[in-house]
Amino acid sequence: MANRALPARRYFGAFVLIVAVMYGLIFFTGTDRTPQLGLDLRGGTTVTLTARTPDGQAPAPEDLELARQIIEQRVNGIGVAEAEVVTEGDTNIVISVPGDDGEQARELGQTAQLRFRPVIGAPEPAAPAETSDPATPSDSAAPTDGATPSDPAAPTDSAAPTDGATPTDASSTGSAPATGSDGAVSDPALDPDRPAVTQEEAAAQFATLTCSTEDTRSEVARPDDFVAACSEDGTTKYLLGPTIIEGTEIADASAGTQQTTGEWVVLLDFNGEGRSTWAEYTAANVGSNVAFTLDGRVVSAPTIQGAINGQTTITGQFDQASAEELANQLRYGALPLTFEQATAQSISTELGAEQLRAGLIAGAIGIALVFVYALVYYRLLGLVMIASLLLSAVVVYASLVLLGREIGFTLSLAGIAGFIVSIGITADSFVVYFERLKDEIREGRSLRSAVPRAWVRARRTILSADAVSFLAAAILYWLAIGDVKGFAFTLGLSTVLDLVVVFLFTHPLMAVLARFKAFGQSRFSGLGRVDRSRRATDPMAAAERQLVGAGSGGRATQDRSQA
Amino acid sequence: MSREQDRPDEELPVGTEADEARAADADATGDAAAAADDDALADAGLPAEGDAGTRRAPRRASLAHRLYNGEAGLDVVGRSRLIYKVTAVVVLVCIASMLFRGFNFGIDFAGGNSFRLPGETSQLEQVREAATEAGADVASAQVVGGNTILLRTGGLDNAAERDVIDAVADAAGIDAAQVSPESVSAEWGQDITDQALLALAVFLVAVIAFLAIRFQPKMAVGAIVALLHDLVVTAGVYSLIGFEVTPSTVIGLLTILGFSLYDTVVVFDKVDENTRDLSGSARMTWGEAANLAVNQTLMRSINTSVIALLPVAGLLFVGAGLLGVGTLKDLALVLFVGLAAGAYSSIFLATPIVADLKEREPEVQA
Repeated sequence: MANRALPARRYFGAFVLIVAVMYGLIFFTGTDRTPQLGLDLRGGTTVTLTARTPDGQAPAPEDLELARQIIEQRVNGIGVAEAEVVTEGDTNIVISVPGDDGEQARELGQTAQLRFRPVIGAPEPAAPAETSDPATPSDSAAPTDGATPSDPAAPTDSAAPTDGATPTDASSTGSAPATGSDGAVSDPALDPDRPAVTQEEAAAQFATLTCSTEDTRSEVARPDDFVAACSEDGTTKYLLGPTIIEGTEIADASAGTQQTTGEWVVLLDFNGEGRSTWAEYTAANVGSNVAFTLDGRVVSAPTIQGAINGQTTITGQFDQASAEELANQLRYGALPLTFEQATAQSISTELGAEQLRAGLIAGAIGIALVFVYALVYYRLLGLVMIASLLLSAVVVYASLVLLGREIGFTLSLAGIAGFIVSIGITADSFVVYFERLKDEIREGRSLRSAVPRAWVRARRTILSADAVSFLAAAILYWLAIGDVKGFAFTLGLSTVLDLVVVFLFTHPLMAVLARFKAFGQSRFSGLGRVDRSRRATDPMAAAERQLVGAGSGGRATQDRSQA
Repeated sequence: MSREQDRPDEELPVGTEADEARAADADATGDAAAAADDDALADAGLPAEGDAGTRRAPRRASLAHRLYNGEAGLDVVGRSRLIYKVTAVVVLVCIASMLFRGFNFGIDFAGGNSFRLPGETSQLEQVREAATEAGADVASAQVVGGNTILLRTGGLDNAAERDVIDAVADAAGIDAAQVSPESVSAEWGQDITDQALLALAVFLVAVIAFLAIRFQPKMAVGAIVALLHDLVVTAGVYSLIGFEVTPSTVIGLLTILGFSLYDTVVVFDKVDENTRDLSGSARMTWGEAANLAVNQTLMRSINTSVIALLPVAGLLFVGAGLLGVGTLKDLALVLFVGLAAGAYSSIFLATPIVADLKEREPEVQA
């Protein structure tokens, strides 16, 4: 007796320990007590962008990662809280914005164009949070410095530096022809519904100008257009001339420190053709400003100090972070990637809550049906199954919370479906075990000896079958994109946890219950209906067996669960 | 019990301490192999070799009772020709349907936009008109889940989509933030399909390897045929009835394969047990032993399938009833169909194929 009792206790103990540790971690460390919910249960916007290279291949991982960082900066620049940008597979970038205002995230799917344009006239401070009527173009909305609509040459008008990347004063060149620079309205581009920016040029000389309505979220202006652009933080506006050089001519950009002064600078290299264009331009335009526009917004507008034939050095009040940011943005322009919006889905908060409710109800119904079936078919043994399923749920919940904390795992609707489907798998392992048990009892064994023997045979089957499920889930997870990953993950997780419960709880519990002879012979245990010794055509032999069986009740027998 | 016949030196009644002590040393699985003999055949309600079947007559109890005790007497291996014919007909019908009727693809595969908003049937027409006026090419408009309007339209760019959202929110008298739009590019569906096909190929290869190692290569063949059957039949049902195919369908399809395989492994495990050391004694042919295994695991297979189906039924009820559309319903539907097909193939298809293959082996024929 003592021999057999210990192992069961040991297994129970191990199980209790695991559960205690998990819940201890949940309650005594960290702040989340519930699993993280995905956006289709919380409400939010998810945008998937697919990167394509010109030759149709998948982009290089570093390129994709760089693109991801840039997009992340842009997303954060919009000002939405808790946005997340991740790569998926080897061609996708997924932007997730919780809450109801993810509209802007959809705009990010537009291709980002990096261009170099000359600054014409002086940059002017933009009016913050100003929305003016685009139909009155001469209505300058820049209250601070009296924007002079038709005054082209404001030579010493020095504007406030934009983002610390304008190293010197924007002392404009007077070479700009008479432009009706009417101080294009520049709203803080945080508001996508702001009125379109218009620009009026001296019609005669700039007939080719077509950008009347410009959404500065995307560079829709043609390279040879004059555009009015805002700086990245929306505080300054510029009037820009036609593109000098496209961002694709950039070979590389990096941030570094000046050897002499130790200040941070950004180093820029153009490729062959670009270099000559650049050299010509800089030679001809010393002292004027060049604006780098990304997404139609000015990220930097430094002044040309001299002709540049080789590497360009951009100086300014950079610190390491801003220098690297600019370098990244310049490099991004050189990326041979275009992004297409593959999917964009917005779930309102109400719909998300409804889906969560539906998922939970489905789970509850599924479990209830299984419970009923277990009780009907297995009677009291069904209680063992139910207890095991409940404990599975407990362990699963704890894992969800912990995983949510550790790896940021979020539960989506597909994930919930995965768990519901795995209820079937978990219950199946019990079915395997109990059917083996019936087999053993049918062969005439007592319940006590049947349990360990059934366990030995059932264990192999359970392991093989669960290995198969896990294999399917792992392959699905590894190869799939989108919802499928969440589904596969929860399926695989439950399969593993099922093994834990069956090994550490169900079998020891059966071993303990088997000690009660009444359990095996009661009509209610589900085992009592099993025919024993049918083969006995001799009633005497049958009676002998019963007698013998009764006599062996009190002896100690070996515990074969270790077999 | 046969054990007594195997060890004529010691006749120990089952259930005594001595018997249990001896059994403790024996390999439980070896015992199972030894247990697959004529007595076991009789218990399962199958004819033993050379038996005219008269022994079965007095034991007829109710079907439920027989099933419960593993005496169903199903001759799967013996009737394999019939099974192959029936299966072939079903598979051909499915393939024909797939070729000629094609599938009903959701927007994830064809590309397009969809809008979900709270509303009811009375507002359906207004909402639909509002969307059309705003420039959308409305493919379908319906009420799902009792309280949500679902609009499917052709592709729209972001600006147009915003217009439609505003127009539709107006018509339904709700706030624009309560509209849930979704837009999918046509290439996305292709991407998903490509990934799914790749996953399927890798899965099949991994399964073949696993089964060949764990059991034997011929069993791998039998299992793969069963899996392909499941795939074709499920796809055929979808095509015949016209259910909508979405990425969730694809997920479900791959899951079915996992389940079907799980089911098949359970049967093969028992077959393996019964046929172990079979060549050593002439108790029965490989086919008979395999058939015996199927019968002995019949209850388990049925239970496994029922228990797997129950939660799926719950999903289907909630998915179709409460939500009307979306991940849950698509998944549940394909799982429901696929699990039924999987149960059939594990019980009736996989083992006969393996038995037929095995019986061609010279050592088994001897």
